[in-house]
Amino acid sequence: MIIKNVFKFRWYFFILICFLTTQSNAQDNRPIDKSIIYLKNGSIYIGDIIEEDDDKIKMEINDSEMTIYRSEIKRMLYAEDILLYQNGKFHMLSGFYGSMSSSSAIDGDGFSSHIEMLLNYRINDRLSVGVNVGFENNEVIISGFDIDTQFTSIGINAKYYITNTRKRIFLYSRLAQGISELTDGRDVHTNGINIQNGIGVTFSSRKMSKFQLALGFFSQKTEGTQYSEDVLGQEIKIDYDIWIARPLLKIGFVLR
Amino acid sequence: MKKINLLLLVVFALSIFSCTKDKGTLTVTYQEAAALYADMDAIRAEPLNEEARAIDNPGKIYLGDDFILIGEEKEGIHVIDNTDVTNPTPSHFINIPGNQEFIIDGNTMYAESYNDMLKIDISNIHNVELVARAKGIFQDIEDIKNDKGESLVGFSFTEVTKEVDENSNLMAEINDGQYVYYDFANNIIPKSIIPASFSGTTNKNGTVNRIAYSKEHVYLIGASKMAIVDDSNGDFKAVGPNYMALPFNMETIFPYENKLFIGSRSSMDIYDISNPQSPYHNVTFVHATACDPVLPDGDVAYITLRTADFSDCGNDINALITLNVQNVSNPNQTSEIEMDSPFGMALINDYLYVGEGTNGLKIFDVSNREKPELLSDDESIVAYDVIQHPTNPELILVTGENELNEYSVDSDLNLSLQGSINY
Repeated sequence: MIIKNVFKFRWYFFILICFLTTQSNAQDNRPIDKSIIYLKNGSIYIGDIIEEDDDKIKMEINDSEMTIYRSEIKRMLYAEDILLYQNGKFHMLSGFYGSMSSSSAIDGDGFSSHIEMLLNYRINDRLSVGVNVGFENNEVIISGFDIDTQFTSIGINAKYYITNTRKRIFLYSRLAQGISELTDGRDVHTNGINIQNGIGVTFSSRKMSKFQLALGFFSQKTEGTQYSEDVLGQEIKIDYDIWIARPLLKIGFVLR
Repeated sequence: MKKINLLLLVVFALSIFSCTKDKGTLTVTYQEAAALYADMDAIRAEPLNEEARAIDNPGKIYLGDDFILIGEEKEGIHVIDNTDVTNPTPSHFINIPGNQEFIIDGNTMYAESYNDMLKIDISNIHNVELVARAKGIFQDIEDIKNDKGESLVGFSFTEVTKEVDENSNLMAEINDGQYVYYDFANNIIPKSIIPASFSGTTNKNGTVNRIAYSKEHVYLIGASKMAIVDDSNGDFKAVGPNYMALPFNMETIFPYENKLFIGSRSSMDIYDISNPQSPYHNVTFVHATACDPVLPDGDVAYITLRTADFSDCGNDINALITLNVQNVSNPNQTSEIEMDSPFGMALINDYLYVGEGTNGLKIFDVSNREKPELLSDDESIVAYDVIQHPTNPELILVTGENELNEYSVDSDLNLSLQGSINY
């Protein structure tokens, strides 16, 4: 049975293997311990901050010192707050961040379409926790019967980065309450807990926003009633008590 | 790091195995159809006139000058002596096996009997006579026989509740199983249409009809077909080919001048019958899915959309809609009035009566035909359909839950109960 399932889902493994094997040990994949200063005129300096006061900052760049006045600085990213790479791309390591993503089912009998927003706080350089809200449509097809569900989900989540490479791999877990959007009329369903776990990758960039890709596994509990018709127009009533469960491909971006 | 990745791979794989298929229980309730067969020759030989009997399962209703006809589903028609409106009395029974739809034109009744259409002389309502019979108006079921040589005459429907096996395809089984029985009874009797059993009657009375008479032709709609019977030259036979296809779920037909207004759950279709044997589709007016009697009058048509109460119709709309149909190829909605649960309608002079089921009876001023204005709302009356008297505009027949009530209407639109028929 397990062997059968392994083959059935082999292309997921292909994606996973891609995630893991594309992490090389090349020099430019290792983070460097330097800070970044963005100037208002558009210039960007990467180096070691060796001294700073209220007015100015001294930065060592390629063995030479440079003094930069704070009035000229647009933004500073200290070495301890970022994972910086040779090519100037970086990941953030501290503070709050927001994220938006859109996801769709990549297997199963029915479609899923989710939009998710979250606000998280980085507890340390690997772990962040926060809250999330989402809008989720899931179609379920069982025994030929087509069931539509609509939820607004509100919950909590945690995200853990397992690598510090440019393409930074993370695991995530999400626990939420799906609040039914179908409560009036004839077709109704209940609220229900939903769980989502997965693995993904955040791509480093020179900007504050980072592209993100993930493979998640989503489960939503709900009960409900839906009406449909047979080919003669006669009514079919469907009472259901189900777990919606399917893999999702999530595409989105992280802000900060 | 490699160990961590390996561990993740294992955890991830386990996650896959547990979370990739929808699981749970489905309990499905549906109508399972079983074919009914009978000897049609024996049925056709049965006498028309019989003793009065109890009303068990009332269907269509017709209000005549001094009598009321009440359909007994699949069996025939009760004749009620209404000479004294305060005391309507059962008179006798017209035996028409398989009947659901009938319509009156002058002294002639057109009534279906299974797959036949009967033309009956009712000039003496107490002793009606069969004038002609058009056999096999839905020809395609005529040859379906059982091993005893009996013909298919309909279906019995049984409500079945079944827990679904995830590995089956019950939806396909339901459709395929009933597709064998497609047509005949289901064309005529979509079970999901509740007001059909509380329906209106003639061209002038009531708005929920599956049968219409116009230009010496009888039109009978099924769920997706319409049979046409020619009564213009004395032959009285189905126009070939025996039926024409209609969009699915047609519920009600209403003739007006050179047009047929046919209502479905999601649309109102207008057909031109300048050539009565070949209706020509003019236009489809699409509305929200709901149960929808149609009542045309001159350049306007009134449609009631209903999804409340015990309706089987989907969506969430209950409204009285007025369409300007002067340009039939481009109907224009002129008003929409929110209702509680509108069923049948009757237009008497400048007043539109709309039955709201258990929510009462509303009367609208339609002196401006395109802008109905509510005049009265009597919530004490249960009204599924409203039928006007053919000659007395101050008398209406209202179908209730288990009775028919005759009301007189005074100039202030006050209703006074005159008599009732219980069943």
